[in-house]
Amino acid sequence: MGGLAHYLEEDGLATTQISLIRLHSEKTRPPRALWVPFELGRPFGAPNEPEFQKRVLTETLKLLERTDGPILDDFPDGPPGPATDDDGDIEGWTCPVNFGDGTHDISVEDDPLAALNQEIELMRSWYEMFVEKNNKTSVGISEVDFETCIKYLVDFISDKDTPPPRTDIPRYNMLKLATDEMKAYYFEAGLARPGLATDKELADWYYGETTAGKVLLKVNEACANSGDEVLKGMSDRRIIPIHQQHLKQQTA
Amino acid sequence: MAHLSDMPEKQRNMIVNQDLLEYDDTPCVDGPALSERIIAIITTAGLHRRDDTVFTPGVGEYRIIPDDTDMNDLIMSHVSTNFDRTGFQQDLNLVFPIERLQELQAEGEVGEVASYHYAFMGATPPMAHEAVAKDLAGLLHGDNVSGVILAGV
Repeated sequence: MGGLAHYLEEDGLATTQISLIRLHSEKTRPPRALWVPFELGRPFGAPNEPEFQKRVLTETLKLLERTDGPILDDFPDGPPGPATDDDGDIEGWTCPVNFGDGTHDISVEDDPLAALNQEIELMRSWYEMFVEKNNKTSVGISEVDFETCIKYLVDFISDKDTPPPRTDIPRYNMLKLATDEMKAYYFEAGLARPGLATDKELADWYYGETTAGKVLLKVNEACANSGDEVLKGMSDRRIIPIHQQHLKQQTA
Repeated sequence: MAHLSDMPEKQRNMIVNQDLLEYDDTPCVDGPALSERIIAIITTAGLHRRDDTVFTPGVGEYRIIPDDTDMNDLIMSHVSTNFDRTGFQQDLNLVFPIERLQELQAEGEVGEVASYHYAFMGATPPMAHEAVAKDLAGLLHGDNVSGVILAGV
């Protein structure tokens, strides 16, 4: 990001930027930057907070009128939203599926595809509610139908050389896109539930409590043990995020 | 998660130890008041239209987002799992503030919103962006852009 600013400014274009990691901006010294104390992935603060977003945008754009760079100013306020507890959780949100007795009669160990499809069906109404409310979805990014993506993930666990649904992109990219498809479906279903959920709450639920999470851990393990350097590299943090790495110990 | 001290140790170490290029100070380009500028957005969130090709890790490529795009059609193929996407799923403007910029234009705070905006994928070596940036600068000049806001994730 800082590099792009230097390159464009050298070509005569005035730039300004949001900095989410102050240390990086201190090192790369872009011409103009506003550091914001927001979560990674949230450069303008919080969703559905238009006045706050506009304030961040305005403060960043105002730097364009200055030429005393490199400028690294600090935005003074944290994002709006409900307070969270020490674990980063908001009270009031519950997972989209009741995992009580009888809903998980298929074991992921015995039949991972059937178990996963059962869970996906249980969540479908929540997912559809999200799409109806927001008029958009991130599902479909791979250009492969959702069911095929799910089957590919499950098949990959037992055979990393199982034919990928797309051969015009590298296998690792297809695998990553399939994991993105599943994550998008679950997170959108989760976001449709009443009450606000933080990214961490959704991630704790998705990776730690769902069948999808168990399947992902197995996919990650298959990558780690594949003998393929690229897949092995993916198993570091491309499938299971850093804040959920502790779950890997359960499958090791 | 806003501060390094709040992050898990592995993530913090990855960020602190990230290999970054060092740059000489680049003189700031002067220009008119904000209310007279044409502003373009460049995001490194890996955004693109649904029909565009997904981003390839390590490649310094970009995707074009015309101002008249159906913004609900934008999807994110960023390779990283280590930033929040739930905000984007709820509100595009959190990462790509196109509606906020249009509002600032309507209020007279900025001159115009550019006709084209651009998206890269972060987690790409900075040197991979250098040649592409030269090309992009030509496009931005051609669109009479006089101010660029860059926003990563």
